[in-house]
Amino acid sequence: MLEVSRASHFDSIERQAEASRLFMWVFLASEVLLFTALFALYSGYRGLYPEAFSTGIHENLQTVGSINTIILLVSSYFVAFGLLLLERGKPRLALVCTMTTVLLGAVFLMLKGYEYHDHLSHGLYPGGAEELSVHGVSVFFALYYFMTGAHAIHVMVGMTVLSWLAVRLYRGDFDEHTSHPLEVGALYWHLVDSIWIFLWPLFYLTGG
Amino acid sequence: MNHITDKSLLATILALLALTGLSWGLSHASIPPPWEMVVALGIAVVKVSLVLLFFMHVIDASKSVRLVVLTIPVFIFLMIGLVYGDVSTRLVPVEAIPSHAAPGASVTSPSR
Repeated sequence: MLEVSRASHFDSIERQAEASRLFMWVFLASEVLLFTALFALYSGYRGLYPEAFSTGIHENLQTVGSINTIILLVSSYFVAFGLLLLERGKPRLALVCTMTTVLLGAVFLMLKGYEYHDHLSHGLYPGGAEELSVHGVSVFFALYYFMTGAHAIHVMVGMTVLSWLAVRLYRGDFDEHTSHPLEVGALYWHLVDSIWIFLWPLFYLTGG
Repeated sequence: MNHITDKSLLATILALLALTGLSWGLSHASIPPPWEMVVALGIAVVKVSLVLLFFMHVIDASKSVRLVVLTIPVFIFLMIGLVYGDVSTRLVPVEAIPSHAAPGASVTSPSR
């Protein structure tokens, strides 16, 4: 059984937890930089091709995108609540919450796959969509597939991390004093949720 | 003081869902640009702030963590602000011309 033990260069488990928390935040800041560069591209191209972006947004499935927004928000709630339960010495309930988050992530990816299938079957390819006949709409769809695709990859990574943490919860590796592994895993998931909070209005709502 | 409780987490998710509904409702309210974008992104900023403060525990975080968190909006404003500022002050939007335009038709706008 792998338990969380204090590494020799930390005075206490609390110091170790704070170090892991701070490291995860530095990593999250670098992930935000990645998406900020993509959002900067979006802002530049939207300024150049406002009609194309409006046309492209109207082609997206707003209902599916909105359901996905709700799914990710609720999934964030469950992993946050699961962490609270673990901090109160209830690892089994924390396991249930964490697995709920992973399942909701899977539902998100299935809906995303359905959206991509719908777009591709209508000829809306990355950098394609010629039949929409608005100059610049290919740029919109290039950005759409790249940004939502990069986000979907992050969802998969988050699901993998949380699944591994769920296994460790099941094994009894964590308790109320050693909850920081779940905490940093949850931080990554909340970042994934936060990115989608901005992707949703930019690709589904603001078509004019 | 520990701000992360059952009640605060539940209140946060309910607020997030309400703001999501508001965002969706306002997107159908025919708000003219650029206010449509301002409203949508403004609500998104409020939602992410709630996620940061309560789900990600920033409200109870140490000063070191808060310093790292503060660098995030700084870089966002720099990168997006400068790119959008460059495009909006130096170029004009491309008109909505058909992509199958006649040869010789201008497809880019001159810079100012």
